Amino acid sequence: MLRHLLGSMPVAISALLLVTCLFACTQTDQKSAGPAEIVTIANLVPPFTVLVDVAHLQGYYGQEGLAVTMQKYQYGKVALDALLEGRADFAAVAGTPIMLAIMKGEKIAVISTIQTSTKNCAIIARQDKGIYTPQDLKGRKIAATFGTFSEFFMDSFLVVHGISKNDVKVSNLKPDDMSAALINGDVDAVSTWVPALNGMQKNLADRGITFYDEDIYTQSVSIVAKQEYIRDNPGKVRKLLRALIKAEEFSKKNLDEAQKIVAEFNRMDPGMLKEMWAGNTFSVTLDQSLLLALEDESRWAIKHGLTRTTKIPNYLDFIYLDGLSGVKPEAVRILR
Amino acid sequence: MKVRQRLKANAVLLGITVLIVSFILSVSLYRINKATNSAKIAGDIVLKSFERVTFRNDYFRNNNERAKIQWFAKNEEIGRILKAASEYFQSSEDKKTIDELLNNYESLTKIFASMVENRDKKKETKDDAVISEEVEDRLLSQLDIKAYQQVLYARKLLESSRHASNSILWQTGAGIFCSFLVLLTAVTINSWTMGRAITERIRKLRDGASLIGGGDLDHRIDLKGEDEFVELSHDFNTMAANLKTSYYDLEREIKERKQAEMDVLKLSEDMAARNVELESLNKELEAFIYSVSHDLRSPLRTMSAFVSFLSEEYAERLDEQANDYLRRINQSSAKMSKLIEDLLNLSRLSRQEINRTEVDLSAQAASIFSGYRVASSGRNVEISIKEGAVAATDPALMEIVLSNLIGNAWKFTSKTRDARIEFGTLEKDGQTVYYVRDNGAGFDAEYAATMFQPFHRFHSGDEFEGTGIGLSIVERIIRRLGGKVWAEGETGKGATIYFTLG
Repeated sequence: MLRHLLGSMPVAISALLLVTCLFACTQTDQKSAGPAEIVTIANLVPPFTVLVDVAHLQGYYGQEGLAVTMQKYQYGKVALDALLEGRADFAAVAGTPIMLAIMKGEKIAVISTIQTSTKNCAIIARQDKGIYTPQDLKGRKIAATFGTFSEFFMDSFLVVHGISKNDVKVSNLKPDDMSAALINGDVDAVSTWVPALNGMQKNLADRGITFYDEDIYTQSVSIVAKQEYIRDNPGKVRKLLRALIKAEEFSKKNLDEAQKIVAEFNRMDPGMLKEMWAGNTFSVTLDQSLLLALEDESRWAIKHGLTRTTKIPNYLDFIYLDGLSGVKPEAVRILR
Repeated sequence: MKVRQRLKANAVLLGITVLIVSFILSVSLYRINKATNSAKIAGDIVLKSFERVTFRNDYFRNNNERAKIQWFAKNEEIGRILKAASEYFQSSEDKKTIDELLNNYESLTKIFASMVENRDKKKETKDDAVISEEVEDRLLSQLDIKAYQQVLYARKLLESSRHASNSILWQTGAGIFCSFLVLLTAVTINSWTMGRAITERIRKLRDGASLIGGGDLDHRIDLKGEDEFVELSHDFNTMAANLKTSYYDLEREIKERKQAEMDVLKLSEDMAARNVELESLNKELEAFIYSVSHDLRSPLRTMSAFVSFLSEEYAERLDEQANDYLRRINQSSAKMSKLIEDLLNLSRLSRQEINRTEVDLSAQAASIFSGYRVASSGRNVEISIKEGAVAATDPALMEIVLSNLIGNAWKFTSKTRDARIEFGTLEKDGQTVYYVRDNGAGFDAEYAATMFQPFHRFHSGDEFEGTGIGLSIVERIIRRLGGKVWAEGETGKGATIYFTLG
């Protein structure tokens, strides 16, 4: 019996080796067969898209067979513009620009949310001009970047504090112009986000006051692409998602290392990045919150006449579930 | 290491493994129990969050005070569960999720409170109403999002608990598998090395035993170590040494016995030669006695004839003294003649052939007694003869034996009043013993053994005449017939002569 078993041993080992080789070959074909596929990503400054940076810095795109060209943008609206104008294949964009683009009729789709936070947005005001409480904003000049979540946050903030839009003077400013306008006194307050917010707080020091409200808005950044592109390149979508998932896992297991390489890559103060990082959740997901947020913002946009259409679209048509379902099904929490 | 210790090591390893497996199972049960409790808490959060949504909807639809109170009560219950949850979830990821849940919970509480406050606030102007409506609209969306997120976070905890349970099961399985693998490996190695050592040692013992068994008693089994086989080899070696000593002792004893046998053989040969020599001497002696007796008889007869002639022809011319001398010479001649006759008879016995036939000894004895009665008619002797004493023997020789024995009895009772002579038989040790008993002069029992020697006499010739040859003749005849003869008696109380026939 023993001799029989020992006799069968080489056959069993050979079979095991064969299966292992076949499996390894299959895996290799799946990941890196052929030349790397070129992809351009319209990316944002930290902390919104640290996963995109980590995937790039850790070489996960290359491992998945992608040759990624990274474009850096200050905010999502301009990144989305790059996508829509064909300068990028994928863009990292917050909810508000996505909602406005879809309401406008752009055929784009979200492939995954990669970041959420309730602490990235705030209204910073001139305390030295007598603004101490949210109610003191009444009658003041407040700037926001229209078409971005800073506008939506500002509006929500004012509303929940009983301030009508008619009670304030709202102006549109690009993020880069806000700090100077606030310091110069062109505006009394601005609605903005990190890291520009941190810079303004530093510049104003005691002269400024920051109003946060974590309960009225959950900011998120998602990766979007044109629907046509997604339809033509589902493999690239999956590869990109796999690389981002690897980046997520790496960041969870090696938080300090991830923060360090992202800070170096973006030439940021590591301490400031660490502080901002703590207020964010970086996870590759597609859940119902995205739908709720988009619909909420859609109602807001319709109410304030920010879009021609008065009908909230079915956002299920603008979310590409198959990509993430094929890579990490448990991360998809949207029923269709 | 000893075999017993190795076997003990296997048993100890098994025991340790059982302990480890028991420990793993205990820890696993504890952890699974904890994970189950964690899952229950996560499930409770999900369930109660949905219940809270029901109260919220009821409140917003109907502005129902009861629903508002229940919402806050349910919300408080969720808060308690969340605070307790941190004890059940230990991983950093779970703790982060719980922190997010708690933040979410606080946001929800604040948003709902703000909405209640917004509803309760008086709307004095149309703008107030518009703002109030917009606030509720804003906050309701956030409330939905937060409520959904809360369920998501709770579900994340639930999955974490399930994952933990699965992980525990895998770890338990792997732990038990590894424990048994280690046990199996250790026991296999131990048993294999033990088996190898035992085989090697048994081979050496077998080889050693073969050599010792083959006669090489100087061979010693050389085993190194401290196990039972080494002890056994020592015993083997001791046995071989003892065997060698015994062998040499035995060899010496055999030599001694052989020598003794040779000595005995030589002695036997010497004795046989001696017997032959003695037999030859005996024959020569008997021939000499016969020759002497025969040769003496003729001059004695002549001498006796001339004495008788003198007594008859010259008695008147001789004086009384001379006649007395002649009478004495005549008596001595008669005695001498009798002696020579007896000696001749004795010497003839050795040469006489034995012719066995059925002999009625009782009849022979009766005939002999009858002769004596005729010869001595004046004596009153009580005769007793046992009837039917028959034996397969030589009748002539038995005639001589019985004549001698009855003659002695007749002679030694001659001076006894109420003399009595008995011929009888008795059974002793399955053999018939014959005897002739009298109540005559008897003899000193101390000399019973010498009474069958020739010329041995207990009484003087004056007292009872005789040559002292008769019992020697009896003894020789009985011996030739293959029997034994012995005597019992007491001086003055008679004698009994017993004999058997071969």
